[in-house]
Amino acid sequence: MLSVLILSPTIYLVNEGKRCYCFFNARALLSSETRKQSVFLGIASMPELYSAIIALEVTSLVVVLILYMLEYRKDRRLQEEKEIPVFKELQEKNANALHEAMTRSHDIVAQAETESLKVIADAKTINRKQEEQIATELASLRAELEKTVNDQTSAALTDFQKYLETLRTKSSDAQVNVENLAKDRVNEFIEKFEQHLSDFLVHTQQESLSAIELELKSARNLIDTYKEKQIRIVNENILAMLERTISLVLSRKLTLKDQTDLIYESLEKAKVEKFMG
Amino acid sequence: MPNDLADKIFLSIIEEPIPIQSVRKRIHLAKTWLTNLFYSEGKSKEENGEYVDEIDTNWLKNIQATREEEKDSVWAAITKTNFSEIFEVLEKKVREVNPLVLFIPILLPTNEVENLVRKVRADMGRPVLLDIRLDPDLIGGAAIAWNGIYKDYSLRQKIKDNHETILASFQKYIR
Repeated sequence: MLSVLILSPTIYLVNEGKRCYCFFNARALLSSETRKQSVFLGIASMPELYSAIIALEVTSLVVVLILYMLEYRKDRRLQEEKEIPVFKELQEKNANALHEAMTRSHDIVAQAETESLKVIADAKTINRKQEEQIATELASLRAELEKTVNDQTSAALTDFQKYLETLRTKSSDAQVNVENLAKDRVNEFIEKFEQHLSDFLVHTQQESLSAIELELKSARNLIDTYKEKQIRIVNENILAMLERTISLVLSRKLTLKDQTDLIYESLEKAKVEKFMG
Repeated sequence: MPNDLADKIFLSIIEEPIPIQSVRKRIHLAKTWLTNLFYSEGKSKEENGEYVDEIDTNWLKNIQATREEEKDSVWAAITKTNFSEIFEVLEKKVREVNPLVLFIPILLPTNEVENLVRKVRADMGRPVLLDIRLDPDLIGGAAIAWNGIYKDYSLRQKIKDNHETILASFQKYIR
């Protein structure tokens, strides 16, 4: 019965009945790892590749040793159980197989080393070419960019100078227009202000005159009222003084007959007026 | 009957030319006299400080004599029973009478007052009662109040009536 044990993508263990074989797939390792790196990185790091190969060799040697130890123990056990001739025959076969395996592993390792060196050389060559190509392209691109930038800068400067000239012209025109407009507005404002001021002064003068006239009228009325009041008081005082004077004088001067005559005169007057009718 | 007797007594009192003040005084004198006569057995009490002139005293003596001598006189008809009622009527008549009020500036003697009353009664043609009151501010002349109307015929009113003329004559000297 044949069974295959895959330890890793590069190491296979094959068990055929009482024998076990170990195979190494260094090509697969180179194609799957180193080539990818050389392709995607351009300039691959060579120490990693060497380390991988050395690890592969160490691993293969360890596996071979393990297999050898297993076989050795197996042979001893068989030697105890079976006959020595058979054991020897088998030991020879095993030794041959082991020798063949070691030979083949050395070949594989050598082939892998050769291929790795070749891949490394190819990668270096490719990297160098790519670097030169990139440098060339970069220089070209830089030259183009410098030229484009210089051209565009010159054009922009020219446009900007033109734009500045246009702006200067427009600004001076606008300044003149604004100055003229401001002068017109100021003149108009001054005219309106003068007109309003004149109207206001006339109105104020008229109101002041009216107020003064009213005040004068009121003052005259007050004076007249006061004068009339004072005259009335003076007149009343004169009459009171007169009455008092007459009363004082006549009370001494009028005799009883005079008083009686005056009373009769009053009665006669009332009689004439038919007041006592 | 007491009313008729009171009317007759009132007419006998106002028959004389006296003002209403004298009428009140005479009624009061008669009442006092009769009160003493009826209730104090003729002993007269002292007057309560009221001034009684000679004329009123004579009038009182006169009616006392009349009561004694003429038994059919109105004064003799007054008895102790009708005395109170008669004098109530008399006092009521005096209160309700409508006198002619005469304001004069000085006090006049009795004879002048009587002349004044005669003159007024003659002018009015009826025995009107005169209420004489003193008002010195009148200066001269008189003022009369009759039936609620007052009229001033005095010198004071004449001055007031002619105040413009008087003031005009004064104002000539003010300047």
